[in-house]
Amino acid sequence: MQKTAYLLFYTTLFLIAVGLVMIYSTSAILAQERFGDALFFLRKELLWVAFGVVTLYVGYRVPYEFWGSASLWILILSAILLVGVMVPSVGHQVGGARRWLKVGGFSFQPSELAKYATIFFLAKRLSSGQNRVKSFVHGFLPPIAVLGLMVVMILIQPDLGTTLGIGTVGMILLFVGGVRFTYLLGLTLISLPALYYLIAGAAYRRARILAFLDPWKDPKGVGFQIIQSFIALGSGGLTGVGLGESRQKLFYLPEAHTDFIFSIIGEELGFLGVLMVCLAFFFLFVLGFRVVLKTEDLLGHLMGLGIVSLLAFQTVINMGVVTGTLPTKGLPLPFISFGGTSLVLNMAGIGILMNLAGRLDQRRNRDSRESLRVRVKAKPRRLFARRRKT
Amino acid sequence: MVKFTHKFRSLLVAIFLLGALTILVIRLFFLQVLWHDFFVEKASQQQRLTIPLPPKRGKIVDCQGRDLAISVPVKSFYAVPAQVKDPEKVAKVLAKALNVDRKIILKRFSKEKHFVWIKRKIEPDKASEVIALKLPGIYTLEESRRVYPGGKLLGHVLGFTGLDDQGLEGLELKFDRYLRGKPGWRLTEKDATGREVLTSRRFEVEPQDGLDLILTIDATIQTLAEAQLDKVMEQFNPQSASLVVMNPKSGDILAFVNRPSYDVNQASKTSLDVRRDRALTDFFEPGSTLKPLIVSAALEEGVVKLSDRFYCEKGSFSIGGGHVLHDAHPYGTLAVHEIVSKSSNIGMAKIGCRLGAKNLYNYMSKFGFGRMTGVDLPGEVSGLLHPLSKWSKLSPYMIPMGQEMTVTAMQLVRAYCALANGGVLVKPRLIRKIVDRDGNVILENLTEKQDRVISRETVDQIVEAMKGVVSSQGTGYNARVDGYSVAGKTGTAQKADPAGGYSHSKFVSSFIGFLPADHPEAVILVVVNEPQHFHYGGTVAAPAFQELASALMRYLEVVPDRMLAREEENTNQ
Repeated sequence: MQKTAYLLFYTTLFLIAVGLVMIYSTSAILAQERFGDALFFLRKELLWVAFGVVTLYVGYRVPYEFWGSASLWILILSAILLVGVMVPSVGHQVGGARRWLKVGGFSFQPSELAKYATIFFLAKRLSSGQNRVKSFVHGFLPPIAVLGLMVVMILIQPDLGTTLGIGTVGMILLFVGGVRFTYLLGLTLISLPALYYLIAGAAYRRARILAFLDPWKDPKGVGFQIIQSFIALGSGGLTGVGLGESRQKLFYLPEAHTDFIFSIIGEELGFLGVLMVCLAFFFLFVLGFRVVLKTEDLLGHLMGLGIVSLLAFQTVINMGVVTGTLPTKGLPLPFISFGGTSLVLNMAGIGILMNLAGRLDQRRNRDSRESLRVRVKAKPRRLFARRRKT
Repeated sequence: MVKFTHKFRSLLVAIFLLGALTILVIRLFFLQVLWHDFFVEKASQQQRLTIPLPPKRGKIVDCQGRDLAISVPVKSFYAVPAQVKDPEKVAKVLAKALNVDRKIILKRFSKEKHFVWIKRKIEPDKASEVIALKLPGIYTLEESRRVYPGGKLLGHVLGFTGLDDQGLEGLELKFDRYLRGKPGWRLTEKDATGREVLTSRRFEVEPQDGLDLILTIDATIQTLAEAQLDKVMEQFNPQSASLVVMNPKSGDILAFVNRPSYDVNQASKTSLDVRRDRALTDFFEPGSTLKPLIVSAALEEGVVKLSDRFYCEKGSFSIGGGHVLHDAHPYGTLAVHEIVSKSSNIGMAKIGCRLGAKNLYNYMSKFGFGRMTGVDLPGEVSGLLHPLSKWSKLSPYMIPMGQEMTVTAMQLVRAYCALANGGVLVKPRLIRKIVDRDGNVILENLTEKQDRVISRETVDQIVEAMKGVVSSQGTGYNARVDGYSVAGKTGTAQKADPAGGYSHSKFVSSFIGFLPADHPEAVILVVVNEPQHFHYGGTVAAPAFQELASALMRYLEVVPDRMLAREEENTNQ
């Protein structure tokens, strides 16, 4: 499975390369205008990529069990950072939301770390307590309490997109980890009124829902962003208007290098270009899920599943938003949107998946030595090999 | 250890997420491929930018090609408010540099628009100073500004244009559709802040420049005339005054002056009253200046001969109904030519009676009174000549002395042109040609000969009589010109009193004449409305005529009569 690790790496690299090209294409004019330097965003992103290569390597080389053991400490660290964001002198506010910590010119987004901290913690907790997982008090409540705490801390920044991301991935892990489905369903039903209250309570969120339902009703107001995204994608057609030739990035689509970068890819490279990106993501997730399904250790299994689900969920939400399939939520497109923290941590996540993939090889070698007899029978390799009884 | 349920549930998650991704690809196919045309249209709706390319307005030049109205390139400043970083500071800088109120600029910056004017039509060198400051969000546009190099010269005729180069008065208004030209346009694209994307220019239609107007006015004569009228204004401080110089044969208007006047470069600061083209828009009772026309009619009809004598009642003549006519000086018996030269009202009344109301009306009509001259300027009025049915029994006495009817200066000059050119009514002409930028004639304004009014023989007789006006025996002696014989007539009309009757302190003083009397080159009319202290036409208007006429003869290089006579003698020998 060493090959799978490399495929994961190269696919990620491909997406990052597409991201760098498109970040330059979408941000050059904005950067020139705002900072007098067309390379401003590209240069920053390149630094983050360099840093991300380091974290990816760390994730690949450090045995994944380490993250399980350290998960409580990582969780505490990210909780502290989330509290730190709330402190006015440390937290950096952009557009009414406190989401960033500024350290020497670079801003760091603790909520990104919180995603991984939550995944690690839940994976560890669920894998080491399989005997009590069906219990309501011991199996269900403690992880839910931790998940709820993280969710609330991110929600008050406010950052509903990330909140939904963590919440959904958390629920996926609880579901796969064996928590009773009825508990999860009950929790979902109970949280629905809260979700409704959150959306109806904030005017901008209500406007976004209305814009999603009928963007053309107010094309200059709430529907503006989604319509501009439609126009970008739609005018791209099959083959696109050409790399660098986007008109929509000329301030029609605000901040086109972040959450709406996919629309500009669609405009410049057309449906074929978008299809390439989608296939790359699809391939990446298939590789990821394959590794997960082959991992026989529950900690690795859940940790890998959490990482792949997180990446896939963010991808789906981002594309859903820019295509008007889902209401507007601020979630970046993994590896492609501009944004340092998420890139560095997602690359670390890919590193951990590669570590899992590499470990499959080691075990298969061990297995093959131990049970030569079985292999002599030359059973055809199955995609999802059933666990052999030992 | 991982159990089957774990894997099964993981597989469900994988299928769900990968399925969602697949659905999104299908959605993208719809948006990008199937609905492509719809969104391309939407995109071009918001990105398309049509930039108008303003044409250059045509020039107005005099008969010798000297510029009277030209357009010069200027810069206009506008702002894209969203791009202005530090409005307070930028407003302060601009206010100082462009002389605009800082608060007004700040107010415009706060508007939610992509385009607001800061100041329009700034001289290029002053503009380049501001451009050099490179203020973010501040841009310039090429525009042109109308400049009248002569200032006040010919102001009433030229008129002026508005901020968008549209004609508002005078020739600028009347010939706007020729001068204006046709704007071009460029199809291009704009970004969301409204700026043109230079790399995506698509299509361009060049603007068509406006046509040039060539006038019959001669700037030199105009300058001389304006100087003369200014002198009159200074000397007699009248309400207003007009002066028209016309070529009697072609009807070409050589000079056209009204006072008070204004600098058309600063037209917006003046009142409507000052802008009025009085020689066309204001009418007055012509008074004695009408007399030669009446006499020529009487001669033409054969009811009198120049040598016929009339008793002038010693200056006081009761015409019934309590009306008594007066002469300025009491006269006994006068010959017809003396009635003209001494301007006897009583003598004229008697001639008028002999001509009869019907003839009077017909001739006045033939001389063009009561209808517009059709000169190429806006705002002309027709004056007033009552139809016969409205005439009273007294009208045949009043009309011959220039009362009971009103005329414009232009009408009076046209009527005299008929006397000067041998008896034919001409149409006054202000525009000679309309040409394009390369000099090709687009439109030529040919002289229109109109109907004959009186015969050449009658003209010769009345000119003889009018020469007497400028003799030492006549009222217009002040209008004599060294070396040239002048035919003319003074006019001193009492103005109608709003309270009824005629005022004894308010007059319209005038002199109209042409020279050289036997082959006239120019008809000149000087009308002075309400001069102070003096009121005789011979005193107020005639000297101005004299000075202008002698300068004009020198300028036109007209051979003096005496030299002409000598040449004739030489040929006779």
